[in-house]
Amino acid sequence: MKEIKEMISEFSSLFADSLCIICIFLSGFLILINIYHYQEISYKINNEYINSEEYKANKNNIMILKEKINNISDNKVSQSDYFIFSQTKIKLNACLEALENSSFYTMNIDKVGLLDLYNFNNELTNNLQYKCLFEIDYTISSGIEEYNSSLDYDLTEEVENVRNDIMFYGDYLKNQLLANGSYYYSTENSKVSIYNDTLSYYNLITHNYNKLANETDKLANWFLEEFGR
Amino acid sequence: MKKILSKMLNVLSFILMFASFALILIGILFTYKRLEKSLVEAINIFIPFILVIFLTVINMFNKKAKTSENLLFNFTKFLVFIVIIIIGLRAKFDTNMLLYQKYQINYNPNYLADNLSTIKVLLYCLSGANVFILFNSLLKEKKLIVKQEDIKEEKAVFLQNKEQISNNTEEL
Repeated sequence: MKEIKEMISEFSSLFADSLCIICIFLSGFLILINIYHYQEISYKINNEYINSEEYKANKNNIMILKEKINNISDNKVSQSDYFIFSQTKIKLNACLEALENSSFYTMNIDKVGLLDLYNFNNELTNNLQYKCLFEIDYTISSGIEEYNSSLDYDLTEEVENVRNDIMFYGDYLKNQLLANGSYYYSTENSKVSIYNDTLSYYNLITHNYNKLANETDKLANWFLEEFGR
Repeated sequence: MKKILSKMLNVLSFILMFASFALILIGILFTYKRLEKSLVEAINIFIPFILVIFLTVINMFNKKAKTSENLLFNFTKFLVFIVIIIIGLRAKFDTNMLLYQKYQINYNPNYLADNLSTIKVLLYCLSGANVFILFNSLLKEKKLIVKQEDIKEEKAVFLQNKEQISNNTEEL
């Protein structure tokens, strides 16, 4: 009886110690993975694009286009084209003002993190692509159809392709960025790709904004050519 | 040194236990408020916490178990509550996890939900270890009682034999 009791006592202390060791290993693993994860998602890259010629040119171009559009008078506009002229002017002004005041074209930060990229992407997909591409294109193409205008406009397909690109990559970025709360296993190989994720998202966003700026520039230049004579 | 360290860890883990419980409770309140669910459905999350608190109270009254002097157990408790506090604080304050921004409740409920299962595993393992330690202390108590009874028996037999010997020598 005594021996059985001793054996049970030893087994119970063994189970207690083994459960404690399991807890220690699991807790240690969780602490380490949380530390690594925090380092990964708080990593910021240098904001080099802000000093690039492309960025500065696009930023200046917005102000130049705004001035030119506002200086166009409606004296030489025909009656059939007047609706298209006035509505497109309003939409272009709204678009250029939104671009000028957007967080991307007013940023003055040295380092860019995932939160900044998320905000840039949200603004681009929810607001800017709609104001600058869809609304202007729809105003012009529906105006031409409704009023049987003789204006020559063939940018609809191009605008739609650019919009689709921006929305496709914008949605992809949004899903990738929102999934950053998951843990990563940080090995040497994966570290290289994880720490470059922020850089690749940054490049994708700057590319999308560049596309938007170029397409808006084309629409504005069409307007200036048609109504600025 | 071991005893002092284990007692220190015991006191710290007692404080951290309530802090970790409060952080998880805040998280559950935020999550269930957003989803408009009643807290009754979250009882299965709080059962391991209640179990650990209950066993801690038993440890305080059952001093023969000497859980306050068990360094491994107290270190494990300390580490487990530190982990729960880290998870609770990150869910509330780490704004780099972008789901924090999405729901606009200044909390990341998905991160907490991902980690709740591991928290429950840790707390159940801790409770299991505590139960085994208490069971072990009960077995050791019975052993002592048996030994004392044995000693009494042996003493009685010895005294009986002594009486017999003294009677025999008198007869002789």
